[in-house]
Amino acid sequence: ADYTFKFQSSDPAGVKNFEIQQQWADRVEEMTGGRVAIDLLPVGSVVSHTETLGAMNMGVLDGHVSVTGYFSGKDPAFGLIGNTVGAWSSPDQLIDYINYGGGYELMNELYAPYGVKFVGGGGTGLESFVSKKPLDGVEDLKGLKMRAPEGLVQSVFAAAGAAPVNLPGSEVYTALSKGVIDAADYTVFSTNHEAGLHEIAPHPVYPGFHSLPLIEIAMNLEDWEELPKDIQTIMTVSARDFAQDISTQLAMADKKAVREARANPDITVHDWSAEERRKFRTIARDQWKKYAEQSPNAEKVYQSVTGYLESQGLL
Amino acid sequence: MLPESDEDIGFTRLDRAIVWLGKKLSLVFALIVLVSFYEIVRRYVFGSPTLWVHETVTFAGATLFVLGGLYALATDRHVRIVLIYDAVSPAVQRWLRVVHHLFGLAFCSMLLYASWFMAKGAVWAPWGGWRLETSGSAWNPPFPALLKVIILVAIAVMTLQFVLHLIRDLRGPASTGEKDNV
Amino acid sequence: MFELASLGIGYGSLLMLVMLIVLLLTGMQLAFATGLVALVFALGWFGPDALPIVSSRLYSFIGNYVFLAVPMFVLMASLLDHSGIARDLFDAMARFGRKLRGGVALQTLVVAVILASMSGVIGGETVLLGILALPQMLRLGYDRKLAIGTTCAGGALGTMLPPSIVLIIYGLTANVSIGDLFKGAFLPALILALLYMGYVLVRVWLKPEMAPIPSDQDQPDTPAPNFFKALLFPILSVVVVLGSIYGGVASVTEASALGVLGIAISTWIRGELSLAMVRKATISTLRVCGMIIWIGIGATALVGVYNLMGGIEFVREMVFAVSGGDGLTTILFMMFILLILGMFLDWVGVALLTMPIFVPIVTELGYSPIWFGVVFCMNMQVSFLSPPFGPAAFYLKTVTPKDITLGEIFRSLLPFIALQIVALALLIAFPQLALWWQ
Ligand code: NA
Ligand code: NA
Repeated sequence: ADYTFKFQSSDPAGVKNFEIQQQWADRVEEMTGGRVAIDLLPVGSVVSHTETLGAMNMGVLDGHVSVTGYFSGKDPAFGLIGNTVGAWSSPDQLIDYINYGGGYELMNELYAPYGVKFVGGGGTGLESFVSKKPLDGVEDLKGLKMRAPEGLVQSVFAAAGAAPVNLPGSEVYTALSKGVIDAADYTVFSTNHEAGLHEIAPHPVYPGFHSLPLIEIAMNLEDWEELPKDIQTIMTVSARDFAQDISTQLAMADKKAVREARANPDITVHDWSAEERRKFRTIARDQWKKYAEQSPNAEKVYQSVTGYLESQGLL
Repeated sequence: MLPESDEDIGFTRLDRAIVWLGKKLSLVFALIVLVSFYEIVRRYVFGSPTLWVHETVTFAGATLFVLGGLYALATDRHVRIVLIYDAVSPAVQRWLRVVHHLFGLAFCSMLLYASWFMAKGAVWAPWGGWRLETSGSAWNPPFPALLKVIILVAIAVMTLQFVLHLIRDLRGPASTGEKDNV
Repeated sequence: MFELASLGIGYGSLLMLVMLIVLLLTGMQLAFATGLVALVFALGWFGPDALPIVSSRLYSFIGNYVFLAVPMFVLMASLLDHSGIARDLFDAMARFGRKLRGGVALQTLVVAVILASMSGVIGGETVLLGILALPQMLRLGYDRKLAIGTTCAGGALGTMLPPSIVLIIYGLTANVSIGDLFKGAFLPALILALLYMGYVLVRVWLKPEMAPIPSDQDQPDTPAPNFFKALLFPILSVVVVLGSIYGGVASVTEASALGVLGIAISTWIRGELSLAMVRKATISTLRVCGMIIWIGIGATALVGVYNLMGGIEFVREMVFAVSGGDGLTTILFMMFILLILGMFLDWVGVALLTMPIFVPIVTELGYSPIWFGVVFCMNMQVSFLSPPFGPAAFYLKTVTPKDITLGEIFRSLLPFIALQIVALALLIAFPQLALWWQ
């Protein structure tokens, strides 16, 4: 290959997310006729998942497939765009915003100072909420000790009266079983189900009311600029396809797992009413404004997302 | 069974300062115990868990772990394989120690370079200007930036420790000569 | 630059090993030797841009909430040790088990199993037993090697019994139920512990002088009736810790903090609590954690650099070279790779390098990924003890007197490593041991 890149994923090797990311890497190799080889490494192989942005900047890694919200601590803007809680009711809406609504350009503007190129991205799927307690509405979130990843989603849950902590993913199982947390914003239903989370936390809320993280493919900007135009186009188009691919495949896997869970008498799948979802969304939208005040870039994100939502009649 | 105190094994002044600081700050472990207890009480007795305990104890623990490394170096307690070291004469042992200090310096100087970039990225925004990297949680403390700076400072101190130990052992057989390393 | 990359990953791996072994043999501190090899390879293979891998891994490693259980365990042990509780506890145990030759060693293993079922932080558990049990066995005249081996192998049981971070990471990597892994590991863990106990019994039966039975004159003056006064509260606090973990009240880290508080209250009731004692205990904790965590930092740095060098790809090629054979051959070859890697890397490194490659192959061959998770966990038991990089031995070394060298610890561990391999063979021959509950 003319270009060999090391990309680190934010997922462990065995889960469906990783498998779909690997398929993307393989397709890039095929579409470029072998000129580009992407070596996809599982989470934590080289640096931890919160450090990949810095690692790309310093040239340790060539790229990553990760979740934008992890970099919230570097700039609240990443927390706001990485998981604009309450904005999107399906991954397709997020993909539309990224591809045609200004998201792609905005992400590239935000990443440019870090020496990073945003190649493309979309939503994983509407995440499912893991819980040991039956939750049927916003009221039930009061005093709930729960895990949430970095970013806006933490503030939204705090505003709803819950007590969010950011545990690493590897701690979620033990923390749930030891009662340290009662609930977790972890990942999509099918992956939660396979990890056995529903055995110890049998009250999942599906479809989730809370979170739709932006998953992205990004790489070192200098590496990107050295690529010939045709390879750049292959990368961006394949990233667009990846966004469709991952949300569709996960949604299908979720539906299958939900059927299984509903058939299990020990698991109760909760579904919030439209009214409760609207209440949570209102709390979330109040937080957008507060987040926007935290940095000039977060304000840009706020303007861009609300502008797009208004233009589409989604606000 | 544990040694009651860390006997002076030819401490440099810097070593003494680290031992002094370690003795003071190690009491923070006791604070971690109390704060963790407070969190459990808040959670079960008052039904209102805190946002700050988890991140605070993790940060305090991380800082003590770094300091513990300096402390163990000052008191020469880092684990070694002494199979060969114990079999050779005190003169050779002294030269082996000089070699260890030189390797230690190589380790520290490369790590210092790396930590500098890490710390810089955590306190200085890429577009210029100060901004402390935060945890991104709802409480959002600047612990990541603080910890990265603490690492940088600790590695700088460790570098100095190796330099001083090197000078000590080059100058001649100190009291460490007869000492059996751990 | 040194252009180490031109060596290729095969010779690169070899050079890495040779460098590490040579540095360790000079008597250089382990933590700095592994870290130095990592930095030299980062610089020589990729150039100065790659050096921040090491600082980044250092930062992520120490900021891990789970590790906070280590100082809590060490603090618990130091408090027990600096007060009179530890001595009273072991005197009571020696009295209780006096009729049985090797009784204290067996009791140590029982305590180890209880600790293992509480948490899975082998650093904390090994140090705890090293502070409490080992000196007592030596005081009672036990054979040194038997006492050292029992303490160290017992302390390492932590990740074999649930809760276990090894099984959790495996579960997340292989995408199988963590609860199923916990159920599967239970019986094999007990079998391993029973093998250790059986070994102790057979050794002392063959050679009685290895574990003298305390005569009445050897008994310390503290009479048995003090048992309740002296030990009721310490035992109660252990019950509180266990209860809060199994009752689902607290995380392992929090429960170990509760344990520290319980022990502190016990020393207060016994009239032994003082600021001076607490200071002594916390300073021991700082020193021991400094040693343990920095060994971990060196190891994690090495793993990060090796992964970037293409370690995963290298292991993949090795496995594919022989996986043309039948299922059993492939499994045995995997065991061989795991045992070899376990000699040089810590378990996180081994898991990162091998799991993405092994699990799909194992599943394709028709084996249960749950069973393989337990097999992997048993392999990691070996890796904790096997020289030259045997974390449990290093942890024990941080609290042993100077005359117990690492060499002696490793020699004492050889029979226990053999027992682990026996348990591993049983598990491979009879997968039902891990799957009987299905
Ligand atoms: Na355990
Ligand atoms: Na080993």
